[in-house]
Amino acid sequence: MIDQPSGDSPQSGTDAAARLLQVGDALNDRVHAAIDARTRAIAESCMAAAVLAYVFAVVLSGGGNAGLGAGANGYEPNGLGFAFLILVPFLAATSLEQGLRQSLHTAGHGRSRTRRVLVASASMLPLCVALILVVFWQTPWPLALLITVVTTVPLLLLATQSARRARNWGVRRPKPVWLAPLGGASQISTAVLGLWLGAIAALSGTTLILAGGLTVIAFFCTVMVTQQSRWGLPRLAGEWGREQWSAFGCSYLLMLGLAVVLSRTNWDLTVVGIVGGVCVAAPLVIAAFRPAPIWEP
Amino acid sequence: MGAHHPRHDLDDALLTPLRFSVMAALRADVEIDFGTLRDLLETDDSALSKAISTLSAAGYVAVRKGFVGNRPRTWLTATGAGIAAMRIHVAALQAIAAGLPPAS
Repeated sequence: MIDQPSGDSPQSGTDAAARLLQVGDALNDRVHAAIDARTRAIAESCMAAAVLAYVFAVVLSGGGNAGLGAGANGYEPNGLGFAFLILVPFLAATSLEQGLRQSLHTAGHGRSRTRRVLVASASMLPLCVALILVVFWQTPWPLALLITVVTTVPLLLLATQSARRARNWGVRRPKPVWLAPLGGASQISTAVLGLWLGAIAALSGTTLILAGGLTVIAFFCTVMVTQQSRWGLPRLAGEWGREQWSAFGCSYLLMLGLAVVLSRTNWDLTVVGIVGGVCVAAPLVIAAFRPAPIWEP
Repeated sequence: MGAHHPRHDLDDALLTPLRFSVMAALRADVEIDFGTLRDLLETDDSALSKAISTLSAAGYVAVRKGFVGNRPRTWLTATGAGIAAMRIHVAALQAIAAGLPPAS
């Protein structure tokens, strides 16, 4: 496509100028496509890690013998609250990942779509196995964990492959030069997301089952209704920088960890829930007011 | 004062197709490794090396040596001066391609 250098003779004339501009545009598109492919690989490996964490949280918090004892406040959890505690951050992660894909400049080509189907299938396998073992068969958690670990192997391999591809990619964005606070709507949405996740986490440890259930239902409804608006999670994904993504990762893992702790501890669940809720909310609330990189359009 | 033809705004350092292509690939927010850039531009190592030396001497490209794992990598980015020069050069090319009459 590109001519070999033909010495230092100046390009002149209308046709030569138009041809050079076309070459520049075509190269720009190819560089965009390469950056997008790397972003897809990173998103793929992060989502795979999120699925793995989710599956282990399901097994550990819901496996047979979960809820080893009632909390010190006498409240014996029925597991429903913990199921929501695991489901809510996963829904948020899925919605954010969808937004990240939408924010890319180029659509994935055939090979990347095939790979996406492969990763989705590999993600569904441990999810289904974990749910069957935990919900239908009430398998003791060590056995459920062992079986689930085996089913995660394909996903682990694909995630590792994606991470290595992203690391070795020859086109990347350098350290950002320009940083600026998120836009007003994104700041509010990020902080509200953190507070909402924190509230769900805090309420799941208390005896306020109705309040907890309503908070979760309101969260699901809000995510669905705001999907296409500037307040929605998909829009956030296009604006977040590394700090915001890291904060969400922390809140996500803390929430899953909290579900496991709540289902297995003898401590006062109200205290554990409230402390957990604050820890879940804090990273996103702080990150909402941290700067994010500005890239050329 | 005489008419100012857009060709006077063309940058000498960007006049060969390869050097122009290098700068077109190195957008403001991208870092490309030498091997990947060579493949993108469908050229060979020696031609690309020469082009980068010229652009680097003009202060348009920054070269950074790094490692990915144990493998050495040479990362290339456009400098602020390079991005500005490219913008002026592209504007001049657009004017020429559009067949604009010389501005007086």
